[in-house]
Amino acid sequence: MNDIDNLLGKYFNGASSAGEEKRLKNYFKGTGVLPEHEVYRPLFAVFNAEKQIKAPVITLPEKKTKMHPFSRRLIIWGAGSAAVALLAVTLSILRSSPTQHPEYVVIINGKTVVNRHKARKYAENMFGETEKIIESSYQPFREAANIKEGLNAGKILRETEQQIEQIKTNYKE
Amino acid sequence: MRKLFSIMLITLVFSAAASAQQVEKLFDKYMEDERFNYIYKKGSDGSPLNGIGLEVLKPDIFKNKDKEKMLILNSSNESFQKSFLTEVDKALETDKFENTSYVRNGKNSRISEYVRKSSNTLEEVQLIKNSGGNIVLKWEIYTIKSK
Repeated sequence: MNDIDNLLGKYFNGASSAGEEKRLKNYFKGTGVLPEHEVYRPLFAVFNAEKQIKAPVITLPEKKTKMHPFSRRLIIWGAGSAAVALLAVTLSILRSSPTQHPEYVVIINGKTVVNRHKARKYAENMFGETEKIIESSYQPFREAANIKEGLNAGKILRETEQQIEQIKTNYKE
Repeated sequence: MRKLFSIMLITLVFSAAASAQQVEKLFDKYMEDERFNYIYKKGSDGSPLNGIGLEVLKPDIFKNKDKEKMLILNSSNESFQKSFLTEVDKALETDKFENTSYVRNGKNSRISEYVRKSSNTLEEVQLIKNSGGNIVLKWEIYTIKSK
């Protein structure tokens, strides 16, 4: 009895060995449990019952395979490149789409000139007038360029040289 | 970080494409406006054309006019004239047009010419403001071809 009391003392103090705990469990499992020890029986019965309970089988979810940094980078760059390529293709299609533009479009004060002949005449007239204004404005530039060319020393010397050569040739003859 | 870079790259491409045609947007905006006259002329294919601005090209290269457009402002409203000119200046600046010449005739008349070149296109813009209060914006688009 003292032996069991000692074992129980050690058990509750957490100092019992595995063999000693086994002995206690077997004691309480058996029929010769002393009345003063009956109070501990449910405790050891629970331990025994625990032993019989099978832990449910838990299937852990498969560990996610970590994506290789290279393939991730590849996907990002691939997606980026695809987006840029798609944009380029879309823009080129939009630009080169053979939309049938009429030769002339004239809208006067918000109203479209539907008559093609009139639109053409008006457009040609206006483009011509504008061209005239531009031409006349740039006329001083052209005149200045002509004056500059006329004052080109090299050209004057070449021309004078040619004249002298001609006079010499005429004199010999 | 890389995601961010990709997004930035795509955004950059989109914004570049979007901001490339401010002058065209200006034409689209005012072509049906009651204060303007809009004229569009399709270019003639395969015929090299001489005109102002040709001197900027090399002699072995010629240009075919693809199309030309013109917006003529007939409004005598000076504040609108000013705001329109500001819009034009801003659009030309955004589209990276280069101002190649500026001629001033008298107090209120001026002609400015702008050019933008890429590998195969040439765009010329002429902005005319005359003393009568008219503003003319002319835009010509050429395809550059080697001989």
